[in-house]
Amino acid sequence: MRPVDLLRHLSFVVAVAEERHFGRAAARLGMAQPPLSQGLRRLEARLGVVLFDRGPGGVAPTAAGRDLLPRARALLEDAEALARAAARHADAARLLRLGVVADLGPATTARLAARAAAVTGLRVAPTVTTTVALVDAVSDGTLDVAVVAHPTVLESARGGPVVALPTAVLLPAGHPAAGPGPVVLRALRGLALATAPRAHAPAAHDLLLDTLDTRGCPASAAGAASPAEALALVATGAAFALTADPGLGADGVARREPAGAPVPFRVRVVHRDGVPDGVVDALAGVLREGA
Amino acid sequence: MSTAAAVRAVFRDAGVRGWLHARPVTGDGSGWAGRAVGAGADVPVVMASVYKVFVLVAYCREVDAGRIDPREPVVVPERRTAGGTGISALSDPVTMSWRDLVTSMVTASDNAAADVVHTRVGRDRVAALPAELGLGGTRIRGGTDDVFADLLADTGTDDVAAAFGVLADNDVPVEIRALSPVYGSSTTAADTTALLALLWRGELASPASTAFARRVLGAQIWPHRLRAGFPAAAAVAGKTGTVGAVRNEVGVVTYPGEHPVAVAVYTHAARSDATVPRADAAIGAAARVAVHALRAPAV
Repeated sequence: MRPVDLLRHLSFVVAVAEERHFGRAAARLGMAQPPLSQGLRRLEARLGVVLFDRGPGGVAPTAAGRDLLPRARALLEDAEALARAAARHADAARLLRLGVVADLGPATTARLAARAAAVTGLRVAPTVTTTVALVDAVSDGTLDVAVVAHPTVLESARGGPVVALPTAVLLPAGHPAAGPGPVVLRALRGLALATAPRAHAPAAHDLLLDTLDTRGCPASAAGAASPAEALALVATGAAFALTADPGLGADGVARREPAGAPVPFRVRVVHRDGVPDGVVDALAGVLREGA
Repeated sequence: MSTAAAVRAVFRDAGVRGWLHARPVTGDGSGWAGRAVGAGADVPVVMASVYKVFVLVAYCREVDAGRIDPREPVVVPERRTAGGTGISALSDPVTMSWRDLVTSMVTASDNAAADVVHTRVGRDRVAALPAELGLGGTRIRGGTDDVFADLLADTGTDDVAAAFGVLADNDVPVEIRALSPVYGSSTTAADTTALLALLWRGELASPASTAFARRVLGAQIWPHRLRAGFPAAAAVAGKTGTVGAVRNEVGVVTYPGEHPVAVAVYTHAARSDATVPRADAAIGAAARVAVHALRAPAV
């Protein structure tokens, strides 16, 4: 007896039971009618039971056929689920899920993604969001690697290198401190600091405010959920911002170096166990180019 | 939100990883014994100076056995373990009784006093104590002097002040043994509250020694951690532990007319700064959330 491809033949059973007609079932399966009929007979021979009554008025499942139909459907659905799950695994092996904290800006994010793709040969799926969300995603395995604000609680993510990026001061162009040359931070008293809300990265946020306080600029924070919001607040004249993104700017916004010691925006590469070789160092390398 | 989730939210807001356990020390009826609040309660954590509670218990037992005279004068030479408090902070030889050294070790976390007492009661005896008490998640490896020796080696520095300077740098995340429960003395929050409950109930030492232990823990000088989480009417006895970004306090909180609750809070801050007031305050805030869930009037 020729071997029976059980799943394929069960799909014949389901199609014929639903269409009640060999011709329509064959059309639906994209095959000719004779091999469909022969296939069903072989399955019936193999199972030792007649599944369909073939009469002049059409084709209908027997009592045994009606009983076995739900099991046939369940097997086919399970087989599809198995194939989908296998495809997901195969897809994941070709995919690097990269997270980048929003403060770094689009150009740096693009450089990080491009370098990660070049180093690993994988398709890179980038995500841009908050530090806390990125660390949670790396911790629960939905991201492979991320560049986040430092310091931050790492949960169960692995900590890689820390890079201190220099920041520029963005201030309203009409502000007295916006003359030529570096800006003394103390001169920004009275302006709010437009920065990501504290909940986005509590420890880094607190450290930044403490650093400004130490430098004579005890600023109150105005929550800006994105660099665009921070820039908009600066443009209104109400706030200043510190940015590590060399491209962030707008009309009415002056960009200056901070006078004295730099005010770093510290970032850290965090990753899950088993991240592809070289990707952590490659990302740190991109960041150091900006440091 | 569950109590454990509320505790975790406190830690997250403070920028720390935290591990907590709380349990009533005593109670009325049969229901109290199994009540507890835990968040990472069985995860190994760095003890830092919390190990001094074990030295205290070992000391009490030596006194009870008649092997230490609490009033015997002890000369501590000027070469002794570094530290900012107690006789560690002093320059010249000091003569104190054993019980006063223990008082300084517990109330002010005096490192020099702790190492002298630890040696006197026996390092082996203290190391054997956790197993003896059924605390399977606890290991005590050496004293503060040993931790400092590792710290100098791991940071490549010559003195403790310089080593702590390296630890406080936010630009360089250091991997050092003193900040890892894998290498040094380690425990779990649940082990800690088990120890405190045994001690508080008088099951580890004589009534007189138990009263002494409860008194010195109740004389804790630091108000910024557990104490900061509770109103003045609540009695807070505790022992702190601090090394780099690790900040801990364990203790027993007793509201007037209520059963005492043992609580242990271990944290590791994301920031390396030598002081992080929010992290200290979070210890009290997390303990408050946990203790409130377990409060019961004493009938």
